[in-house]
Amino acid sequence: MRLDVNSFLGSYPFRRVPGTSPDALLRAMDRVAVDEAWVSHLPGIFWRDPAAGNPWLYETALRHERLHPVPAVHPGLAGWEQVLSEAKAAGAPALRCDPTFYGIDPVGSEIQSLSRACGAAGMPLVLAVRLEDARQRHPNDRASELPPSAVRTLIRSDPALRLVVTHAERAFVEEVHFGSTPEESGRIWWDICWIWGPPEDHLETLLRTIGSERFVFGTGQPLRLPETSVAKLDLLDLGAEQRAAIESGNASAVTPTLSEAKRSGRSSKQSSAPSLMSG
Amino acid sequence: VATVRNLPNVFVDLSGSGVDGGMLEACLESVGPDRLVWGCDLTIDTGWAKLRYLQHLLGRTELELVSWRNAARIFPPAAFPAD
Repeated sequence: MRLDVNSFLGSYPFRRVPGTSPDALLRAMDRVAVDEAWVSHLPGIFWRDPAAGNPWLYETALRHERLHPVPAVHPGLAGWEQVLSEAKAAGAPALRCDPTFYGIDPVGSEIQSLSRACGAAGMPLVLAVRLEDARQRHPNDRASELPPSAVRTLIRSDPALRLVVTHAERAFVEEVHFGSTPEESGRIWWDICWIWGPPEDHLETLLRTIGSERFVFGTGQPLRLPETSVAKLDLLDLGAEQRAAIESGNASAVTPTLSEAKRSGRSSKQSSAPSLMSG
Repeated sequence: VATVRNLPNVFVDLSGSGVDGGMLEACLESVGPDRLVWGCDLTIDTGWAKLRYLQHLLGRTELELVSWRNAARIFPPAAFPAD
């Protein structure tokens, strides 16, 4: 079982990217043996109201059993609490918020309110440090990268909050992890897509010093080639149990409710379909 | 790569940390498999990933061009141990 917690659907506003349709994503998943994926609506990240892309995302995920929606929420807009409720009702594995892309303070009162609400609802929050390498971004793509201090501040904002941070490199991970208490760092999971694999020792070192239980498989596709995340695991000398944990097991700890629903044979998608469509 | 599209004596290597979706398609569209050479720089994981992806974009003959035949053609004789 291989689960990609970091993938997108829909066009990217700053350059031509192939493979953005649901069918194309599924073909890419087959190509690299990814069984299931958490998917977000890529263009919505750049919309004034990112949640406007959620209905399409929900409907798409309902049609494709392997795709799990990670809807977006802007905590500075009216109705964000409803977005969280809809995500919960839909059985979404997580909710995403990209404050720097939305133009809001990444540690401001709005996102801290969202953090507390996510903690109370048991809804993990996904944050992307970046989407593309700063060297190649479009001149008008000027959103700041998420700073490590913001992750530390948010994880402290609510004792029940769980964060999944994507597109973070080694230095970012270390700054947050070693600047947090053990209890805090135990509620953060890191996707591996932006961490160097062999022969650089970044991922190997992090797995040893921080612990492999903190890392989840992610690709950033289709903005990035998904082959990269698979290759870096192939190049590491990982035991089968450790690799399985990174590729899917650790994600189950992020979303224990969803995992339990699957184990018991209940389909969160089917049971929540009416509420999805009413949103 | 668009800059070197019409420069037949310029080859493009695929090394580097970038693994952007669409990057390899753009290279192939611009210079074709006859003028691409594989390289990995220090980031072998990205180089290997690009080679894996090329396996899905190219047929066997074209893949051989990119992965070694082009390099064997443009580097001096005996540049590689297998020469």
